[in-house]
Amino acid sequence: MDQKVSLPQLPNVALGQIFRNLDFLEVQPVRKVCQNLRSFIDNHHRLDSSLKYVSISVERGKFTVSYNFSDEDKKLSVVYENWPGGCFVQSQINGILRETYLEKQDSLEIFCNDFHNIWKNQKRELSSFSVEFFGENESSDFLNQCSSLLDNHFQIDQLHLFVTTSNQIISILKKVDPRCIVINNKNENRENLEIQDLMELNQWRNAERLFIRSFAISAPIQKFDHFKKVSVFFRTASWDDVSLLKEVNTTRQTCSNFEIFPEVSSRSE
Amino acid sequence: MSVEPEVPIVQVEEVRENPVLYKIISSDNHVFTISEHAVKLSKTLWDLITNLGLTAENALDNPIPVENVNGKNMETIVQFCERHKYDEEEPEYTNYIREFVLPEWDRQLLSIDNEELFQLILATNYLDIQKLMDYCCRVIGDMAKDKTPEELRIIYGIPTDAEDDALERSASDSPGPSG
Repeated sequence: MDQKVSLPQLPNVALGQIFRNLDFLEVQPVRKVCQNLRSFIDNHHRLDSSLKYVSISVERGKFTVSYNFSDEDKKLSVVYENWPGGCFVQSQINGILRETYLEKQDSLEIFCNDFHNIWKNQKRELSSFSVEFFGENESSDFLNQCSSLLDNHFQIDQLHLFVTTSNQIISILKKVDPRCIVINNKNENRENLEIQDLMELNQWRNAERLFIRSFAISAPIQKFDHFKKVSVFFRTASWDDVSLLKEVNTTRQTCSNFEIFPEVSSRSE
Repeated sequence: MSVEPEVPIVQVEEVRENPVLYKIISSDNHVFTISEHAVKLSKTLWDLITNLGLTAENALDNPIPVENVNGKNMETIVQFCERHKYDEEEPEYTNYIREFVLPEWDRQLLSIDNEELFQLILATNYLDIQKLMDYCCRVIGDMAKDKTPEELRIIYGIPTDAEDDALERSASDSPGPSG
């Protein structure tokens, strides 16, 4: 009598061959079947996730993430939401809707596990990464996870942040490498944005374009002169700033485009 | 006594080629005859034949015992090798998804339950038959498409991690003092 055999007991050469018939998205459910298959796939069968656009929205106890891949036919979006006693997960893979309720599980933890597994397998440039926050105090747990969550460096063309407080910006920006940084203030109140810490980051120095919307900033204009394109709102601008800008614009070889919208001040400087 | 003309067992092209035939004995003592071209698809068997120095003259007198493969799997394997013995060699595959189409004849041959398919993969791996390995793995891989982890667990006969742990515990726990 032959011993009973199941999939995880097959030799590695066979497992590798089996999974070669599956693409990145198709392998993901297999990873979740058992520890043996998960460790085989993570150690011996890592495929490029080939992401193109990723967007996350962060609410209290609820995370919505949408992945678009280089292959435009592939699409995955998942909602993780805390329900009483567990986490509700609704996923849509290439149009197929699935719903699961995971008892005694937390939406942030499940989201982080899934997200990190896809993010860590990205090997090429990502066209766009967007994070939107709802509410001000609900995001702290998510922000605490960001450093381990986004622990894989690859070029990102555009980073879009829709924030409600300034601390949401730095937690994400310091973990990614964008060419273009777009920061939107969801409160649309033109409040002052503390920008000092952001300007210290390599990401600030390495980016080529910067757009900050609905925040007012005050900072030395020299800190912006490496950007090819900048659109920001200064509450005040001195004559020195303006003349420096003029100088920068005339001496630079590259095409630069500064748009500064100073508020009309009642004080005369 | 039948008066029917004697029908040759081997196929026409075999006769034309005057093939060398080999005998293989499975783990449960079934005897199979396989042609030289077919047996060459199994790297393990062909190495064995070469090392044993079997020739057209002495091959049938020296059956090759294969203790790791039972008769049922060996029958499938012999059928497969005879079917594909004249196939042209295929190029090496890349790491990406295979584009090859599984022929209908082979899909039929491999329409067996998963437990049997896993056993066949083990036998194929032991006998080192690349093409059969590719085909078996394609069949298993295709089953995984558009399935949830729960569905896969049932399809592949895999216990959950918790069940697995419990099984291991009950297997390793020796009866001891309660407490």
